[in-house]
Amino acid sequence: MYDSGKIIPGLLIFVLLITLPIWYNNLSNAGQVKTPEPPDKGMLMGFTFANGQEHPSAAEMRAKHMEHLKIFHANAVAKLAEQKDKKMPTMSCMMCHGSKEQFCDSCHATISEKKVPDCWECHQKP
Amino acid sequence: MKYIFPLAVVIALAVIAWIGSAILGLQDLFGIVVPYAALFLFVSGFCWRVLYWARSPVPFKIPTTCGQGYSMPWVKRDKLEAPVSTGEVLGRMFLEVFLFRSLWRNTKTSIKPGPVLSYKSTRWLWFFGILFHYSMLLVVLRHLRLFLEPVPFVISALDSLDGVSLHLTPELSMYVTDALILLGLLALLLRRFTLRPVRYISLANDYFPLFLLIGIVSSGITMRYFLRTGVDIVAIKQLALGLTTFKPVLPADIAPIFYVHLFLVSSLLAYFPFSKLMHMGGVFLSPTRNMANDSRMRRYVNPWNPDIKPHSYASYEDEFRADMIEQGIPVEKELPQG
Repeated sequence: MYDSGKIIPGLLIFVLLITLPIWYNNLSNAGQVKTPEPPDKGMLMGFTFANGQEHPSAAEMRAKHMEHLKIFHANAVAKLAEQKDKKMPTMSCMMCHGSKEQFCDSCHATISEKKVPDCWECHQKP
Repeated sequence: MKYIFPLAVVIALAVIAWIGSAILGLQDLFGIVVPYAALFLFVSGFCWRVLYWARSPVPFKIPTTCGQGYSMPWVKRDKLEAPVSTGEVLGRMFLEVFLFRSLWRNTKTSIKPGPVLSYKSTRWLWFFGILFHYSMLLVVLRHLRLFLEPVPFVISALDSLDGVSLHLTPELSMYVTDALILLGLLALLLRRFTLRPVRYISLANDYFPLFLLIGIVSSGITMRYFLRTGVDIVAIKQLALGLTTFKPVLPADIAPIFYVHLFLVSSLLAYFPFSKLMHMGGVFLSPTRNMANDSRMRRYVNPWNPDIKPHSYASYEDEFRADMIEQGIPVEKELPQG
């Protein structure tokens, strides 16, 4: 073999970079992968909102929660404009779903999802 | 017409993954067995290919020079086009690997009225090549957020840098590189379709990687922006982490579009070492780029030259002295007496 002094180290670096997830994960948490707990199934089953609308399924919420939240938000804003007393409505998701850390951050942190709208700049963290 | 077969193969691969995961219930095959096999083929095939190249001797000093070489001190020389030292070679290689410098000199020959022969530099290939390759790099690095736990700061920072986050319409938030990689790939494909000389020399194995990459990119984009139902990204990370820690778990109910994406990526990995995509490793091993133009300063010995021992006249005479005396040929030293 020719130039093995340059080629072998280069190849070794390449293989280390390609297999980065393998040794990184095994070194960092020794194979103990933390996954967020799935939301309580009983909580979602057959729940209906005050306006009679049914709670969407867990799969649909996971896929499209932003779209639902947006509609929710628009409705709430429209309702607030009609209201005479201008009393701020409270966020109703969190009434059942516990804390932001548990319910939003657990998934968003796991996948390092940065594309979140700035909900918490106005709304108070429960 | 050479694009029909590769296009059909890519479509067939996507359909196989869709049918296999959605109808036949072969999620463990497409989610665990195939990715492992593909990664094994990729790493071992890549190493085999590079070591195969490393075993091939280079008989001559063959750097391509396209500028004034080193001569007299007062002659201005081109350090990058005719490098003589290791440092200059490294500079040339760096610009080649990171900026695709040789594509910058891609020329188009044409005859203008007169008639005048003109060579015009066309940089579209360079531009879309850069666009594709750097987008690909960023997309691959971004995907590390699904493979690493905990996610390193660099990766999440890259993720935010790459994304256009729209405050009012979060569902329209997108990654810049998602659009750029598709633009680059479509332009490179269009180049093969429209430029007649390029179309003439394009083969099935030129079209296949392009179609495969377009398939991967479009299935990824579809999954992220359009067919979101059933693409639970937390479950997908669970699968990825299970694969990397060799304790694969298969979360239920991942949509078929994910398996299509994964199968196309696996196909790319498996195909990589046996195709022109090996230019990834090959660019470092090109003798025409990585050798110094110093054949007039240092002797370059062909590695397969036979080992010829010097044979002096004195030793020649020692070997044949008796025969030479017998034939009456004059010798410098007589036979020892007695």
